[in-house]
Amino acid sequence: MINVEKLNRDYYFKEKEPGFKGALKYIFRPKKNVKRAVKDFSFSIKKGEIVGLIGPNGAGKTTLIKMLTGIIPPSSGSVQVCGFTPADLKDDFRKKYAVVMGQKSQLWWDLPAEDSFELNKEIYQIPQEQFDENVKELVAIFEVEEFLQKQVRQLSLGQRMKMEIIAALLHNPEVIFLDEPTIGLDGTAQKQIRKFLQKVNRERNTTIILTSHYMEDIKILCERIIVINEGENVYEGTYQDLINRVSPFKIVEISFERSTEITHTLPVEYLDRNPFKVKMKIDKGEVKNVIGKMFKHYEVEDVAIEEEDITDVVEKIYSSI
Amino acid sequence: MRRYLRLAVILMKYKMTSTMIYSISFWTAFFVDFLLFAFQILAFASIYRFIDTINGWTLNQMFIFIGTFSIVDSICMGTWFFGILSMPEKIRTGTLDIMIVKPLDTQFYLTFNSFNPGSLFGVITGSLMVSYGMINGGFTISPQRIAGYILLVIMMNLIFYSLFLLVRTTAFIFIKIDALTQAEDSLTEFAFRIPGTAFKGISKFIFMLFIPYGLIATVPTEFITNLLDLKEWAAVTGIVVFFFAASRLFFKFGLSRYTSAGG
Amino acid sequence: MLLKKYTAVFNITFKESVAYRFDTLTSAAFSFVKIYLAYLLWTAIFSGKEEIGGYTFPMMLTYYIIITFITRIARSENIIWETAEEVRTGGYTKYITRPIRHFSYCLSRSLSKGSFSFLVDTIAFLIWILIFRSNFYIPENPLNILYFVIFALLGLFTLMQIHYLIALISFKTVDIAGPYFFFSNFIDFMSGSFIPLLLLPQIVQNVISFTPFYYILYFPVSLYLEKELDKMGTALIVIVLWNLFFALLRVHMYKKMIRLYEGVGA
Repeated sequence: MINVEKLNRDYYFKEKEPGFKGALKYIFRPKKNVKRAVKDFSFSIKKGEIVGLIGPNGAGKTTLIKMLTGIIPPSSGSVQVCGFTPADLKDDFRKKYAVVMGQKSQLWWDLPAEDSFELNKEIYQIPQEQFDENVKELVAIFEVEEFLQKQVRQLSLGQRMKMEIIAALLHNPEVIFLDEPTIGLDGTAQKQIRKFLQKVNRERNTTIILTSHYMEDIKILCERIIVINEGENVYEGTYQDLINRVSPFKIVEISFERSTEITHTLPVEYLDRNPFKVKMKIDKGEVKNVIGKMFKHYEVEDVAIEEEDITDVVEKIYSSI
Repeated sequence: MRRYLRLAVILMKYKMTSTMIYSISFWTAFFVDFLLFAFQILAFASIYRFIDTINGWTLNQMFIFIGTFSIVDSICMGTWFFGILSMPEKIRTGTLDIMIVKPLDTQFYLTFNSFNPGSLFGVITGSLMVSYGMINGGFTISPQRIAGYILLVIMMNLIFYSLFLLVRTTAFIFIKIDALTQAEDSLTEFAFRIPGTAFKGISKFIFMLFIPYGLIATVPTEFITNLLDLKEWAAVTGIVVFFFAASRLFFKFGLSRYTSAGG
Repeated sequence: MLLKKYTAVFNITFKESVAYRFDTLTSAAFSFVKIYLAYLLWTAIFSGKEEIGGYTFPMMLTYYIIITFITRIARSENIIWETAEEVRTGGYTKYITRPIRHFSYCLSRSLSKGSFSFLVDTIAFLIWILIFRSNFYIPENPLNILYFVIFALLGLFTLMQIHYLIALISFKTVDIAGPYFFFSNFIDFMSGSFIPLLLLPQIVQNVISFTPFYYILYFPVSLYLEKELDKMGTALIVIVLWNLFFALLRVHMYKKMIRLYEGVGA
């Protein structure tokens, strides 16, 4: 469905030196610089997959999505989406996908969302029946019926994002690109959107490509993730594999019924240690052993096991891979 | 083709509802245009107290000229003007993305994205002025003249549109084009408000052929009062076709150079 | 003490203008187009005639050149846009919470921008005079140039007060563009930017001479062209009265308008 081979995207910009001389140089003999935002990128996505695209800011995620949607052409390499070359921007191609960008709204600001829906119906040439059905279903799932007639500018961010997603799905796209869809939303809204995306994927076999900085989104939704850093494809695989690779640890917190001193030497790194509670960083393979030993030799009151702190993991993913 | 016609109407309908929400915009557009129109008339009527013609044009022809300008300007502001005006900003902020991903010709979408009904009143005041000038000046009024006039008004709108689009397409390459739009401002502020008969020699070449702003209100006026010969029709048509085609090609070129800012 | 505050505003605005000097230079260059087009138009109008309505061709051309020059140093129009933007985004709050008076702030800013434009545009101005030197009018009595300068400065101050009053409309409406275009064109015409007011029918001239617009552009330039010299006394009285009225209106309107301010952010 989506095939990308050795994709490159270069940005050219002129460097301006400070001062008056610099200004002159800038006009007459500017120093040209090239930044390669996407380097030799290759990957494939099958129909119906939900794939997450993660990477630090400026890594090239958005550039990649722009090339997949045809907004900008690649500098070299090939990209095929649903059998089309995106940069040709054929109408038939553009009817096959939808793009939801957290920062750029496609809804008319001063009109109620339902007017934007109507407009999309015309632009995408959606048959009336299909349109009505979709609107009804999507509005019901998101529980936004009462907001349909409010001006978009009056909606909260969460309500607006839901409307954006509805607007994007009216024409039953085969692929949806979501660029930071849950940014700035409260927990409930985030959950709703995630559940909804899973439903759409299940029921309509819609391929979903998603970028997000929220690891929750990635963890829950994505079957597969692609990590991009400095324009390169540095990792492809499942979320769990990635976590295991960069963070082979678990954080285990054990509290005791009474003041205890641990006499055994354990293969752990102590993060916090006092007579009533210890917090340990343990290699995943050793967790069972360590906990078993603790229960055997000491009076354990409570055990809590967690993944390494999510932000630490993310940092590791971005830097050490 | 039919689809695009239908879409044009719908886009205009939505923009219209959208602007009506700002009622001040709606009415002040009307008042501003009317005011400018009235001032122009007062200015030229005053000048003509001292002279009989401006290089051949009488006061009545000036009235027709001012009325014609009002008609052309109103149509342009009511239809494509604000849409194309927003182009550099959309390019700069990257919000053009939203339009590019829709299954619609991007130039078309930009063009019809800003219907501004308040501006269209100028067509009425302009037409009244033209009629007054025609009757007062004793010029022949015939169906052929009116038809030809309307055709030319549309053609002049196309020239203005093409020139305007050409300037703004450069934003794809230069992003910040303030200097260029300032140049355009200085030129247009006057160039199509002074009677084409004032252009002679080199200025005629510049303003009627090279950057034909000078044609915009002049040609229909010339036609409806003096008619145009075949050579003039051919020249005008050629200029319209040339600039329209050039602006379309340039736009497509510009779009391929779009770098899409903003994350 | 007070002066120091506003001198600081003046200086920082000046620095800002220097940062945008490229823009100012280009717009100075393009204002030449206006003069050139006026030249074309009036050459056509004057063809065969020595004088129209008391103006010779050199006088007429000089009129437009000087009008263009003054229009370029009059930078108080920005007040309208800046105020509207600040009210819209909530940035206006800084005038309420800091010990600075908005009007005086605007005055310093306009003076600063005007000074910068003066420096830049004088070069352009001299170039225009050079190009049209055979048609540029020089007054016989150099004292008239002085009178011109004095009244031009008075005119600019009056214009600034008017712009400030228009800027206050921002508190009432989000969309300032409408009122802006309306007033902008209205003032342009009434102040003689389109055509010299002397050419208008006498009745119209008389009416306009009661308004402050008569004295912003038209009157000072007329003095330069050695016309209307006998009216200087009356002019001074009218200008002073109008400015007093504007000042009072400004204070009154400000109190009313500031209550409408909500301080909301975007």
